[in-house]
Amino acid sequence: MSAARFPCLPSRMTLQQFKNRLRGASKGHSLLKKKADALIIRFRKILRELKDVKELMIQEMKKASFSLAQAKFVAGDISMSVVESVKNAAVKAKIRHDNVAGVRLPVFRLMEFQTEDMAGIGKGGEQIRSARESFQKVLEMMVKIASLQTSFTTLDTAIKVTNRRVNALEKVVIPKIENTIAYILSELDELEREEFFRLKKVQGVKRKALERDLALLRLQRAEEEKQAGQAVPKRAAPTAPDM
Amino acid sequence: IFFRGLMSRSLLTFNIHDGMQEASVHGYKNGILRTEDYTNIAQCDSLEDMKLHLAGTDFGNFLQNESVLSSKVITERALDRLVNEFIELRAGADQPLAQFLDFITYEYMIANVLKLISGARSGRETLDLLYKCHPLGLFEGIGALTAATSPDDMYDVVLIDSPLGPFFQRTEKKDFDEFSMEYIRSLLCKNYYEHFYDFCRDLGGETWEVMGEILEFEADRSVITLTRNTYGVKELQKEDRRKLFPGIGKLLDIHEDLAGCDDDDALREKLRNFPEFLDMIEGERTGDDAGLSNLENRFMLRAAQMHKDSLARQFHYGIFYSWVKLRELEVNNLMWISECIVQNMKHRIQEYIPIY
Repeated sequence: MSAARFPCLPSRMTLQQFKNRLRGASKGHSLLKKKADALIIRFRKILRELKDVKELMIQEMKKASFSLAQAKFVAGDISMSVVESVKNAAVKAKIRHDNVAGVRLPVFRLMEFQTEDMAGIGKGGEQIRSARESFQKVLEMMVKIASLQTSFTTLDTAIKVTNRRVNALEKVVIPKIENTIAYILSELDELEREEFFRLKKVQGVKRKALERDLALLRLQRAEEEKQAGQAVPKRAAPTAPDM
Repeated sequence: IFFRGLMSRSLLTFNIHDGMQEASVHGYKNGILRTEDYTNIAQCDSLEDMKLHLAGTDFGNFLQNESVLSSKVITERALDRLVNEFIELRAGADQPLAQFLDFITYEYMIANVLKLISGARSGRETLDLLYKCHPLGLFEGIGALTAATSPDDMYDVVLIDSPLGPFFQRTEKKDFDEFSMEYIRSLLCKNYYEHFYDFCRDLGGETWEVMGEILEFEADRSVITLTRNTYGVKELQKEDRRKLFPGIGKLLDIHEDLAGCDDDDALREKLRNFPEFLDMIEGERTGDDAGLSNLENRFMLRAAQMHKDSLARQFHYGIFYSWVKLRELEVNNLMWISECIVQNMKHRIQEYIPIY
């Protein structure tokens, strides 16, 4: 992995681009990390609540089914009159969204209880009513559990996704960018060294040429002096030709 | 259609016609679970234990063919036992006892027919409902009811000719469309009580003495519970409420007033002159509303007491009615106890209605 890098042309411009990308990635990384932390805090809270409500639910269920037994004891078989009295939904649930660090959590809320009906007016109306009340309580709890549970799963996936992103940034994208930058830098260094060497080389060649010219000149001069010593002894030496 | 004329049975002739039946019932009566039996089964930790204890009573091995026990199974088998004994009695009954026994079953028939009607209304498979009917309330024509597609058909084709015809005749047809099943049920029950009352008066003698008292109590009870359960129900105006009150009983004179009651205080005020009912409602206010102290349970206790008194007397038909009712109560008690055992609510187990 660490050897991986983005394909690019090593140049100062791309270096600048990658430096920007690195800055962006680390910024994103820290933000996502914060988001994940927020989600996890919420997640834990929901988990706790869910546990409490579920435990309470067991109790309420017990009570409710017992009150049903009570109603049956007094009123006999009530299922028919109950089924008959059901015409449209007595209870409706509404959905609302809660926003946690950009994750939309569904929250269900119960709307309007229509409780007026005549089940058991002849016998056991009271018990039937109390059974209905306790079952309504159970229903409310179930709705609460439902919204907690959906939030729970939604958060769970959201946390997973965020963590994956955090990890991807941390373990893949950022190292890759860093590698790329390092590569570009090394390439640039290499280029620089080459250039330096080339300059040095040119300088060397030049110096050699100069020395050769000078030597040639000296030789010429000596010869001329020899000739002038015979004819014209004093004459200015010509300057070295420019390269 | 009722057998008037040779109705009354005196001490002299009772045994000639109905002695055997009466003797059987007195025999069955001794099989009703007693306090000791209840104490025993109330201590059970599982339904298996309960089965074991019940095997030692008159219930015997009524559960022997059941592989899985549940409170529903126990209740159903116990009810089957009652039904079988009842059918035996009915098969050997002379007139007018047979007619009397039929009257007992009409109450269950009404419930069954209403089940089927409500099934037809909501468009469910009526054949399935037939299996959920109370076994005491099955009659020949009831299968035909399932063929009818609408409540009107049921009424026109089948019910008119069934034994329940007379009860339906006193209801206006519009009641069927306008009101809820519960209202119709109450209306039919009212008609039933009135018919039964008339029938018992025709029978005369001891039967009339005993049954008159019981039916009046039942009527008063239904008046009070109807009133209490319909405080402030909008669909039920005063006149409609009034229509549901059986035209018999001790409270007959104040029905008009009772129909206007809209809370417990008003009800108490109206019942001022009837200490026995007032006490029951007063107890309601002071006692905790769970347990034996609530009104329905006190009514049941009171009814059980009346039925016991009726069973203590001889030469009358009331014992048949009382026996059926007590046995029904017993089935209910078994259901209560088994529910308590299953649901692990042993602290409430004592709330059954003790009989003997």
